[in-house]
Amino acid sequence: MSIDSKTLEQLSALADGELGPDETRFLLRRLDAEPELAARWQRYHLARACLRREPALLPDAAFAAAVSARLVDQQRPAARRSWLRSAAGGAIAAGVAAMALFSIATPPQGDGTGPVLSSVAPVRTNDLELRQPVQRVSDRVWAPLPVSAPIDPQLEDYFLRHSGAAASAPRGGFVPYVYVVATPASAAAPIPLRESSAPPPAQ
Amino acid sequence: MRLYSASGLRMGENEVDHALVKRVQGGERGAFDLLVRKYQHKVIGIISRYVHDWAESQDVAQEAFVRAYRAIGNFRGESAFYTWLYKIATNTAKNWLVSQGRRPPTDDVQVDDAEHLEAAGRLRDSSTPEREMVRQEIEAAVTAAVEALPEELKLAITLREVDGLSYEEIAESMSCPIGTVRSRIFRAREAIDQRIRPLLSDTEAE
Repeated sequence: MSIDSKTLEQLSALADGELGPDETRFLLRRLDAEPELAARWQRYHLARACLRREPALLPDAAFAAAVSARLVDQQRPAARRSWLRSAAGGAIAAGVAAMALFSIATPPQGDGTGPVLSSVAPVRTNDLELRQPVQRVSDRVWAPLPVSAPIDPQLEDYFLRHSGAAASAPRGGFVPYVYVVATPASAAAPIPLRESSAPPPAQ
Repeated sequence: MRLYSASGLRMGENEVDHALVKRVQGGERGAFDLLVRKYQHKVIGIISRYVHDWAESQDVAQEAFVRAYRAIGNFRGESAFYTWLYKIATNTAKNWLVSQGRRPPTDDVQVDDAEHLEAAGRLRDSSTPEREMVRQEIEAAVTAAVEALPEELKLAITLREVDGLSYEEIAESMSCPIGTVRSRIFRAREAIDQRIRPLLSDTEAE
């Protein structure tokens, strides 16, 4: 590939330190990519050494290539370290992502004075009892409220629909819904509606 | 008036070196290749003062460049790059002599003096006869090329390369614009390059 005269004149000016900063940046990028231009750069400096009677000797034909190859060898361990650093970084990022997901899925810990999950009147029903334990998705302690009286079936149906609708709301979450629908009829179990780490009150 | 560094290089040339060094420090190994290509002749010349076998001097010169590359992160630009490289080259050569059970010479040549020494004596002992012949041919070709140049090109390249004047100073001296100086120096270089390129085809990679 032939190099145009303008580029070569810039190369000559670069060798003299007489090229502007922008042209220098541009030409250095070209020098990196064009071996023919780099070879010309080498010969310009050899001619300079001859003109200045500097103590220069001709190197081996592939001297610069040999140095470059040695530098590549030198960099290989560093490249492996870089790969390990990347892998470690990826693992940390994955860990952070998992923690973020976990914290999103986990409701905030209650302390007994937490927010009331529902503003409706406490549910009292004999039909809502856990026959099989629900697999917990958090370690939050739910304090059930006492059940004092049977609930009206129509009102119960309303509560169930309300709970289902609340579950689909953006901030409703699924835990209240799961708790209600997973509770089959018959037993007079308390319904947990309030976050609390305190033990359930005595019946 | 342009400033001159301690080693005699014009500040403009140093700025080019420093720009290359910054690129190397930024991770561009290709920029270091340009520094190698620029200084390889001189570094081998320095090392051949200590290491008289030509093949060994090539190996030691390679090692010197590798060491320079490793240490380039510490180069702050407080001195000329070539002065810094010169120290690494001489230390590498001395270490090599010690590793070979030989005593390094105590009469060090300072970088400023080395710039002005004639390429003679031990330097030529280090080269093979074939390479020495090529080197002499190249020197003769450069001299012949300059002699054959038109007067304005010959004066421009001589003022630049031998006297070390800046383009601005040459323009003032030759009573012409700086752009004309730049063009004349380039044309002179190209005329020299046409003469030496065939001689290097077997010794230097394109």
